[in-house]
Amino acid sequence: MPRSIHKGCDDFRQTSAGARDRWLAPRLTRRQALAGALGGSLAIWAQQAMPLARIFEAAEAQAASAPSARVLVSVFLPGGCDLLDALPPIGAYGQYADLRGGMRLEAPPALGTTGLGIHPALTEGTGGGVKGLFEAGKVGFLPGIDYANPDLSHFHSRHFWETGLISERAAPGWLGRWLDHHGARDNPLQGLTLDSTLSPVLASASAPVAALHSPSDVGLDMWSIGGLQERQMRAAWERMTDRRARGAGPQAVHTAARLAKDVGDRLAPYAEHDGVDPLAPPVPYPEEDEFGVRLSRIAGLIAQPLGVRLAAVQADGEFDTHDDQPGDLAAGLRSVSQSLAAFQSDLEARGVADRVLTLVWSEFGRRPEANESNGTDHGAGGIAWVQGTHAASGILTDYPSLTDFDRDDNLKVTVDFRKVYASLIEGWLGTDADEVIPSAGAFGRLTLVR
Amino acid sequence: MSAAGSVSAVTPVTDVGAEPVAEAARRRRARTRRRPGGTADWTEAHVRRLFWRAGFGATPVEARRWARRGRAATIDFVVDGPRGGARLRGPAPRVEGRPLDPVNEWGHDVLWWLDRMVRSTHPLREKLTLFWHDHFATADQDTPLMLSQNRLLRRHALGSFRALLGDVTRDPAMQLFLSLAGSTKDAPNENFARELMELFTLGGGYSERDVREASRALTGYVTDWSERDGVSIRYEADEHDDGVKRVLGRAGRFGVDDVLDLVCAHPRHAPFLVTKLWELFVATPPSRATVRSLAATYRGSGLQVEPVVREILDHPVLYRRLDAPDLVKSPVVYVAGALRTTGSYVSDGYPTWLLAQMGQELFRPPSVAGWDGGAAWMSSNTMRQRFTLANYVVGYGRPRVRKGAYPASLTPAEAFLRAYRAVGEPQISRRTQRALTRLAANWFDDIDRRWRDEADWRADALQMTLRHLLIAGPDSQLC
Amino acid sequence: MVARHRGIVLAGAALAAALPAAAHVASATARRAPETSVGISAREFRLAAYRDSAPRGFLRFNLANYGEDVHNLVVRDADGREISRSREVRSGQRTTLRVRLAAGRYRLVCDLADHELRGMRASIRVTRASRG
Repeated sequence: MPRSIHKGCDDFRQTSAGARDRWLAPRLTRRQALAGALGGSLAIWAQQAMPLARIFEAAEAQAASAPSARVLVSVFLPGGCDLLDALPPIGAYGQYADLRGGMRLEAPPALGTTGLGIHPALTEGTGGGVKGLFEAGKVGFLPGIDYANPDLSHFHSRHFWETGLISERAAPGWLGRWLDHHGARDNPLQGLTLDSTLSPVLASASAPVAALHSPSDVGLDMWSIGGLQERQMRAAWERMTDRRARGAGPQAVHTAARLAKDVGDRLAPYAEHDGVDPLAPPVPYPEEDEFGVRLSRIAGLIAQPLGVRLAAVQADGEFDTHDDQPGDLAAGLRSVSQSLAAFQSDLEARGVADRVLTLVWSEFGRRPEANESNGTDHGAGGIAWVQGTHAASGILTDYPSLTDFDRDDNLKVTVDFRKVYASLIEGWLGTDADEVIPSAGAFGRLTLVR
Repeated sequence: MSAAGSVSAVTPVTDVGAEPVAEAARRRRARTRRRPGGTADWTEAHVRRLFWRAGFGATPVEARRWARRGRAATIDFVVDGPRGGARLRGPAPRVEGRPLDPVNEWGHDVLWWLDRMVRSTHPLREKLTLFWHDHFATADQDTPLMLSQNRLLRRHALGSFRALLGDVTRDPAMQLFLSLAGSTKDAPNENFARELMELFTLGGGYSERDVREASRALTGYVTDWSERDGVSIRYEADEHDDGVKRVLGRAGRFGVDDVLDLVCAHPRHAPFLVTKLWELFVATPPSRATVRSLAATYRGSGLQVEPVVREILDHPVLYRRLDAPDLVKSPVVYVAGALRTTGSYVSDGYPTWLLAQMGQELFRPPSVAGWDGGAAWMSSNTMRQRFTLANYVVGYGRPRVRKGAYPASLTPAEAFLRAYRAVGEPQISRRTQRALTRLAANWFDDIDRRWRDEADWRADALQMTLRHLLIAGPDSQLC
Repeated sequence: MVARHRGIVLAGAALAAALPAAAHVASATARRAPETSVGISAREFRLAAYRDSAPRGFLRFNLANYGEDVHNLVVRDADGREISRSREVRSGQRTTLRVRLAAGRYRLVCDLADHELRGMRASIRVTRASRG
C-alpha cells in the first residue's frame, strides 16, 4: 500500500462513509452512532427485555457474589501510536536517529537496563508517570504488537483489534464476546464504556452492556419542581408507562420511559449532589484532562458494588501523527502518562488495585522512516502495555529490528495482538480463550499476569 | 455523455413539475378513491393519525375541520397542499433577538428547517424532504452546499424519482460526500456507484462487478476550488471513461444518465423504493400484495412519488388501531410536532442540541445509510432528552403557565382538562389520563386542608407538571 | 460537547425557575451588540468563508473543522499584520473567534504547519455600512 509522502489519512478520505459503516459492523455501529449523539446519560444495550427495575439489584448481587472479581480495563490510544518515539531503542540509537532525522528524540531517558528509552512525556505524572509505574514493576510493555500482513487503514485495523478477528465482517467486540460467555444476563454495568457511545470492544451479542458519561447526567429532569411534587411526578410517570405495551415501537417507548426513570433513581447515590461528588477520587488527577476524568469515574465505579467487570475508555490525544509528531505525540503521551499514573494510584488508594488490570493499545504502529512533514505515516509493529499491581513487568515481547523491515518498509511484527488477548483471557479473567478468540491455541501465550 | 448502447427498456420520464399545475392537481385528485359515507368512517382520530403520519400532527382545530370534510378531501389536501401553494404561517423565528442565519451560525440550519416543519401549510413536503435526506444521507459538507441540497430535495420531494436521482447525482454535497467528484477514468471511485445500488435504488440484486462497471460509467466529474468561489463541480469529458461497460446485464458505452436509467428500470427498484416509502408512514411491513400494488402505481406513473404516497395515505392499514398508535416518532417529528400541535414556534436554540442528544441531528446523519428508525430511536438516554424538551415547550411555548391563572380549588378532573387543552388535546390513553388525574388529586397532600384553596402557587406548578407530562409522556412518543 | 450542553441546560433551568413571572423569556434574553456571523470551514487544504463581505463592527467567525488534522483561523489585515487568532481545533470540533474589524480587506488563513501554503486561505471584505 504505497502512501503519498504527505499526511492526511488517505484511507479515511478514500473510504466512503458507507464502506466505513460496513467495516464497522453496521448494526452495532449504528446503534452506537445513535447513542453517540446523546452525550451524558446512561445508555443500556440489552438484547432482550430485561427485568428493568432489577438492573441495579442485579449489579449489586453480582458484586456481592464475587466481591473480588477481576476487572479488565481497555484503554485505546486512537490513531496509531508510534513505537519508536514511545520506547526509543537506545541500543540502536544511531539507526533510530537516521530514520527519524530532525524529529528524533535527543537523549531520551533510559528505561532501566532494557536497552530502551522512553518518551519524556511518559515520565510525567504521579510517581514518575508510566516510567515510574514501569520501575515499580507495574507495567509490562509489548513492543512490536500487531498482526501478520497488517492493513494500514485505521478503520480496518481498529475493527480487527476491537473484534479480535482479522475479518471484515460485523462482529461483537472481543470483550463483548467474553461477556456473552461469562457475563451476567441482567447487569449492564458489568461492561461499562466511560463515554457517551458504546465502545465497539464491548459490543456484545447478548450480554447487556452500558455506556455512561457521568452519573450526574441521568434520569428525568423537570425544571422548577422538587421535593414531594417531584416524587409525585415520578410516580405518575411510572403509572403512565404500560408494561404490557404491544408491538416493537410501543414496547421500546414504554421500556425506555421506565428505564429513564429507573436509571435516574438508581444512579442518584453516585451523582454529584450539592457540590459533593460521591465518586470523587482520593488522589489528584491532571487538571482539565477529560481522559483523566473518565478514568477517575471508572475507578470510582469499580470501587462501588456495581459488578463492573470490563471497562473501556479512549484517550484524548492525537496519535495519528502525520505531521508535527514531536508536539502532538508529546501532548498525547503526557495526558496518558499523567492520567494513567493517577488512575493507578487512585485504584490503590481505593483498595481495589489488586483486582484491576489495564491494557493500553492502539490500532497500529507508524512507519520507521519519518516523512517530510516532521511526522510519520501509518506503519506496523506498534506498542501496547499492561498495567496494574498484578501486571507482568518489563519488556514482554521482542523489540522489532531497525534494519530488517517488511516489504512495505515497516517494522516486522513480533507479537500478534490475539496472543495478548488470549493470554489476558486465560491469565487474568481465568476462562478458556478459545471461546472468544478463534484458534486461540495457535497464538501461544505470554505471561502477562503475576 | 449519454452514449450509444443506451437502454431502450427504460421508461421515458416526465417531470410532473412540467405540467400545468391545475391540470396536474385534477389528475391527482381523481386518484384518491371517493369512499361512501360521511363522518362515520372519517373521524377526528383518523385526521390525527393522517396528519401525524403525513406531517407533524394536527391541532384541535385542524382535527375538527378535516373530520367534517371527509376522507378524500382531507387526503387531497394533505397531498396537494393548500390551493395557491404552500407558505409558512406565523412568526419567523428570532434567536437572541435576531433572525436565523442558517449559513453562518451553528445550529441555525437545523432551526431553519425545523421551523419550516412547524409552520409550513404543506407539511407532507417537509416530511418527504426529511425522508429523502435520510435516503440520500449526506453529511460533513459545507453548510451552503448542504442547504442547497436541502432545497433540491424539497423541490423534488413528491415528483419524479428519476429527476430527483439525476439532480442528487450532480449535487455538489453528494458528489463530495461520496467521492464522485474526482472519480476519473484513471482512478474510478466506487463509493457512489455502490451506494447508488445498495442504498438509493436497489438494495440488492447486483454484483460487485456491476458496481465496478457502473463506477466507470459515472466517471468524469472534477472539482474546482478557488479562493473566491469555493468548490465547484464540473463534468470533464476527457476524464470520463467512454469504453464499453457491462452493468446489470446490459452492455454499452454507458454514461451517467444511462446508469441512472438502468438502476431505475431494474425490477428490484420499484419494490425497494415503495417499501421504503411505506415504512415512513406505517409501522407494520407491507404485505406482498401491497408492495405489488404500490410498485405498479409507481411504474405506471413513470416513477412518480406522489401517487405512491397518496395510495399509502389512503390505505386502510394506516388507520388500524386508532386507539393504539404504534409508530415511534423520530426525534425531529417529535420536536416539530410538539411545537406545531401546541401552537408554539422555534424561538430559541435549544432544539439543535436536544435533537443531537435524541439521536437525530438534521444535516448530520450518522452514515450514508441514514438513521436507524423505529424502536431504535428509544433508549433510556433518548427518553431523558425527549423529557427535557418539554421543559422548553412549557417554559417558552404557547402552553406557558400564566401565574395565578389556575386556582387551587379546581377539581383534579378540571385541572387535568385545562392542561390537556393547553397542549393541543393530544391523543392519550386512559392509563395516562388516570395517572395524571391522580397526580392532580394528590398534589396538595402535604398542605393542610384549610390552606389548600390559597395554595394557588402550587396550582401553577401542577399545571406545568401536567402539561410537561402530556407533552413528553410515552403516549406522545407514538403516532 | 457535553459540558457545553450542560451549560445550556443549566442556563435554561435558571431562566425557567423565574418563569411564571417572566412571560416572554425568549424575547427577553439580553440583546447583544450587533454582530455578523461568518461561517468558516476548514479541511485539507481549504478554508472556506461563507460570506465574502460583512459590515464593520463585531464579526463572529464560526470555524468548523471538517478535516482530519488540527486547524486554526488567523485574521490578518491588508498589510499582513495579525489581528486575532482562534484556538486550534481538532477534527470534527468547532470554535468561535469574535473580532472587531474596521472597514477594509482581511486575510483569513490557517497558519499551522504549511497549511496556508497548501491553500488554506480566504479573504473577507469589511464594508463601511454598519448594521441597521
